Amino acid sequence: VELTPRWHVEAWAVRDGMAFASFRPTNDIRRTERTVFIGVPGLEAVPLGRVSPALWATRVNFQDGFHNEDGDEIGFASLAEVKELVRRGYLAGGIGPGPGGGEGPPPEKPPDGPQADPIVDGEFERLREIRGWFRGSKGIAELETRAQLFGTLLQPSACESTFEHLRVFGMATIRLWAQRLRSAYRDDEAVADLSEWVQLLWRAGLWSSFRDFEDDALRYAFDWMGPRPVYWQYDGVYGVWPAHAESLTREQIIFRVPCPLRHDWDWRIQQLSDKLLLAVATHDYFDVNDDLPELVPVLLAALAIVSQARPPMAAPSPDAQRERLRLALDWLSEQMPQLMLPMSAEYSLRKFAWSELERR
Amino acid sequence: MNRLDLDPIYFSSRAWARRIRAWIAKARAGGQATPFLDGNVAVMRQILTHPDTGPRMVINIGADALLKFLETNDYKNIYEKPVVGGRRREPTKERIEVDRLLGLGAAASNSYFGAVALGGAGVRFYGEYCMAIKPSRVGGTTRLFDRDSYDLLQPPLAGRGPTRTSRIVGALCGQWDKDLVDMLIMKALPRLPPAQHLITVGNVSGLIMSDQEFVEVHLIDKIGLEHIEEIRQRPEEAAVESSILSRRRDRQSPTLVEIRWVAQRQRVLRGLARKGLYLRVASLHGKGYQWN
Repeated sequence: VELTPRWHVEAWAVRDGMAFASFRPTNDIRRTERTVFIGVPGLEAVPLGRVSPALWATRVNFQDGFHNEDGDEIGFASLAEVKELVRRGYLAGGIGPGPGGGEGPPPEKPPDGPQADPIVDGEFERLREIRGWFRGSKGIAELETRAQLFGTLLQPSACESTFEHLRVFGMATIRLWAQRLRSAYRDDEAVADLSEWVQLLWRAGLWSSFRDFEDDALRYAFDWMGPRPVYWQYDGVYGVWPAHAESLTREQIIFRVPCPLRHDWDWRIQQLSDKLLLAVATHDYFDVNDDLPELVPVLLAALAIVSQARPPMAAPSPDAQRERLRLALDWLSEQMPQLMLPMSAEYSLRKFAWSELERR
Repeated sequence: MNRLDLDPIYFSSRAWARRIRAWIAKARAGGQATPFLDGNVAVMRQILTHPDTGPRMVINIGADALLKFLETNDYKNIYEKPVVGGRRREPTKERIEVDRLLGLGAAASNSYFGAVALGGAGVRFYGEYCMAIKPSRVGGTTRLFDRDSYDLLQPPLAGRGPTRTSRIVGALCGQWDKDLVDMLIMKALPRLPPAQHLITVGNVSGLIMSDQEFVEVHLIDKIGLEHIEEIRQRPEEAAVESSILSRRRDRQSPTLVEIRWVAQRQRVLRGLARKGLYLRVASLHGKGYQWN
């Protein structure tokens, strides 16, 4: 038994991002020196002055404590580590549709075998020769390695190649979404969701001209409908967006975007958010998924999110694209692991994150 | 119990109504002018006894747990071994010990714990959504406990031996129909400063529940969505959401935690609407504390 006081989780509502933690020796609540509450979205620590509210939490929807596979309490050296645990646990809890079912297109029945998108596989194979510069993303949970890799991505030729990959994958999301709408019940809201995503990819600078965007994205997204949605029947971009597209919460669209799969990706991954959340909640995601195509869905989600808060590019030049990618990488880096937790905690987080895919 | 360290009136075995009278008598004997103390007790009694606007049993719950409840209509206590954080949970040894001290016995596995609130949005620590239970669901013999029952495990209440602990537990218990109002008044009295004014409903609301200080309710009945009167949330939640969105207008992208948090709130809004449940924003009771 560890007698030196450390921070221990007393009660934890993992998917709700709330936890109580005490500074005390292992397995000894009576010698608690202080107890705090930590909750999303701010994750600031609120001192409680006594441990009883933390224990009471297990009367409602909090799990008691945090233990390793052997049932031993996991201790943390600092409150910062506990906050990181709560933060990444909360993000992992967003994987899968969660209670109440998914949003957007209904999840498909589990296929007999992996349902890869052959176009994505083929296109990424075709691009193999232009990503010779990419040295792999192994180890980027660690800040310094991450900074080095992200710096490499911003080199002009690397940036151009990365955008080519992003365009391939972005188009695959549009094709998959349109295909699902075509084969399932659809209504104005479902079409508007896809419209919103298409618009966002344009704002992110994936196409260098509106003509390319129209030939590529709009054709695949809407031509199956016959006449396109009225808000896409005009030339130009400004002034034709539907009112919903100006709503202030569109970042959450990543929870609705269907995720195309490569042949060796986990078939339980359904939404783009699944890829992003797996990558930011676990410490070793990129150690085992270390090629550029594995990074691309995560980058696409990051690019979409930072583009929400910014106007469309007036001219999607290489410089503008590089600046947008820099913003996306800065944002992504802040969402990825900020601290390495004790290995037993990292292991539990990884196990929990991947098990969330099973909740479908 | 040791009358030298615990207040002999508050921790008395007498009925809660008699404790109130004893408290006022003590104040009078101590030279305190009591017209406003008497008046404030009368104000509290009037506010707390109104059936439509009086106290409610409330349970706080997080967004994910609430969505799960909306989906399954199955609110579980820990003895039913709900799945939390990916694996089945069991009651902790502390919980088993507290439930034993409370004398819950076999009822422990069928008990659902909540708090008493007069307006407001409950105990935020346990979730941003506060479910107010319809009074008709809370039976007259439902047991109340004057405070967080886990306080029994720590000083100054802990370590007093079985007999004295049992007396303390007996002193701090009550029943919903015959003790609720007097318990709440008694809880408020020690924190009521000498006053030359009558208190307001907002004051009463805050005296009954503040932060993690509340009267505990032990409901021996399953809770279903049909037993929910309304869902409440604090204005601060709306303010935080608004702050996140306004930063975005200034071209600062929200964090992924914030994105998920806002997304969950919107899913809750849709889920509540589908079930015909009303979400109200309120900090305390009283018109000045209602946002909608």
